[in-house]
Amino acid sequence: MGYGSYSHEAHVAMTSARSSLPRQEVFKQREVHPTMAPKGIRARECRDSATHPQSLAIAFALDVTGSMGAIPDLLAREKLPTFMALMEKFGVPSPQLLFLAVGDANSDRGPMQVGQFEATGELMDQWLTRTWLEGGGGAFGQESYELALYFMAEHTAIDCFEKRNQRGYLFLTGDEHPYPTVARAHIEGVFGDQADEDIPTEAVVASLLEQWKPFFLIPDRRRAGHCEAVWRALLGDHVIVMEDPADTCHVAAAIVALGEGRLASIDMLASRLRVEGLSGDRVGAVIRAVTPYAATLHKDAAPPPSPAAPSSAEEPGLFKRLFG
Amino acid sequence: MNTVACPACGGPLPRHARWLTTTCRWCGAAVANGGRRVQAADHRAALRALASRPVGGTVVAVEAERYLVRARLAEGPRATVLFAERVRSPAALVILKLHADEAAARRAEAALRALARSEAQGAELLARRAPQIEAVGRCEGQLALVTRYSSGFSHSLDHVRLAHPGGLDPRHAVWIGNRVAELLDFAHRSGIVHGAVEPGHVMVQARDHGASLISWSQVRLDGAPGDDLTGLGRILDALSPDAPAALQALWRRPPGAARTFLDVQKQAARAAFGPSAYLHLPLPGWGR
Repeated sequence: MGYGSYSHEAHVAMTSARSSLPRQEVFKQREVHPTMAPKGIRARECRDSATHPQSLAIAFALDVTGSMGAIPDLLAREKLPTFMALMEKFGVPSPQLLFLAVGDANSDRGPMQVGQFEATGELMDQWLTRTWLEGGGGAFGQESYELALYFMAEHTAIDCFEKRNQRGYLFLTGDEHPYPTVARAHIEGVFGDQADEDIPTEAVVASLLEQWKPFFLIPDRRRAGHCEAVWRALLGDHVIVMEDPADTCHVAAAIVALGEGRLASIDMLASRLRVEGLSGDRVGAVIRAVTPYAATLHKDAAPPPSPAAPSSAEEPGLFKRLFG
Repeated sequence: MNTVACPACGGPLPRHARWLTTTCRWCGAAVANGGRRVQAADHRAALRALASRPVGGTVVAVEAERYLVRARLAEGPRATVLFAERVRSPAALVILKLHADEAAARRAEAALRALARSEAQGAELLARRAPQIEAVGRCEGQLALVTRYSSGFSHSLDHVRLAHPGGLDPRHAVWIGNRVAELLDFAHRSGIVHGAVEPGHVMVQARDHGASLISWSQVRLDGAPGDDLTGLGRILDALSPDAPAALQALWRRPPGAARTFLDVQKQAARAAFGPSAYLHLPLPGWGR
């Protein structure tokens, strides 16, 4: 997949036409669409083509449980064309997008849904809106994010890595913990693969890292309190705490641009976002969200921590002023 | 790490070679997929390779986690402080504090965990201003607290004093005082008194006018909040000795509650300087 050209105008027209529709009119599926059922998928492929000779694989694995369904809704009504426009403005060539939907394998009917890598707005939109927002979720503060990690590690084939050693970007959205293992029963039941035993989620992440840069986007600080620490143990500074789910596309675009070296620092990111018309408070929120990741790349536009200075208490004159 | 090998040449194949017919990049052979069997051992091998990957430079271990030291920030009889990066990918930047005094480390850990789980009003924002614990464990025979690195909190007020030996514009002292008082107010409402509000324990982020408190090992659960404010007032008074009289009065005789300190300081600053406006604080390493 991934053929065809992207038209921003057509994509905007498509999303804005439904901006006032109720969610159930935008997302009409009431069960997993047969083309998004993961069982039996051998691989989702992101390949170069004549029109996209330098494809870059980008996947969004969206939590569709409970209130997390707001993010796919935002993408479908408004934000996805913004992401694609930012990719173009930041100079990221030929992004191809894959959408996955994540639920809970222990309690949901559709714990995993998988689209195809696409390069055109129409087809991206098709997979996004074909997603069933089941809205269920796990009962114990966990969702089956590990299934998305497993699928991406085992069942994707991407030319950006195979031909250019350039890893793709995986953005998971969520507000719960992953299960600590990818259960053998789920591997068989959801994907049809035969595993010899349960696989620790952290080991699946290690496999995933061969071809992908995974990020976990938490929609706001309140929800970060519940799940951030567990995800940081897995993904370190690739755990991104946003201040509002509406920032998802700007944050994801910023991460790709920083990671691909298209932006030298968060200072440049801030000025580019302002040029694009983003309000000052949203620019600040995006910058705060991506700064920990930017710091790992030395792109946080801040000096590193300084070795301790002599304490004031060691200087008699100042000590006297301070505490005399 | 690729754990699927080409049967013709033994070269590594991408993981999806299990499912797709794949052309070997080493010998060009077309390798047909061999079924749908997944070995957990393959994934575990990938994890082992990731955790033990060789890195250049000094590496320290806290329990099983390895960290590459980016800089030594402080070394003394009581503690060693390191700026480090987790070796295992994806990266995580951290501050490692190795305590010679285990009891002090445990006090700091208890205080920071209490702040992290505090449900006091504003916790979701204010708890992030204190150091956030990532791990606690043994490192080089000492107890190490691993806390998250906050970008830009690069200078303590000792550094600020060195950079501005003639004293700070009082408007800077005001924003620093506001940020620290907000954090103290949150800590006090969470039942924690810092106990050591000193210039070297106040870290500032010059660009965004942020301030944080480090060194929570002298925390007191039964202490008087006023002690923290007395420390803060002394710091601000020494930082900006030419401040307007109303600010000096506050700093030299602070109230017993951080919220009152904050309200009075904001009122005095507004009366002296008008509406607050951003003012650049020059510090080494920051551009304009």
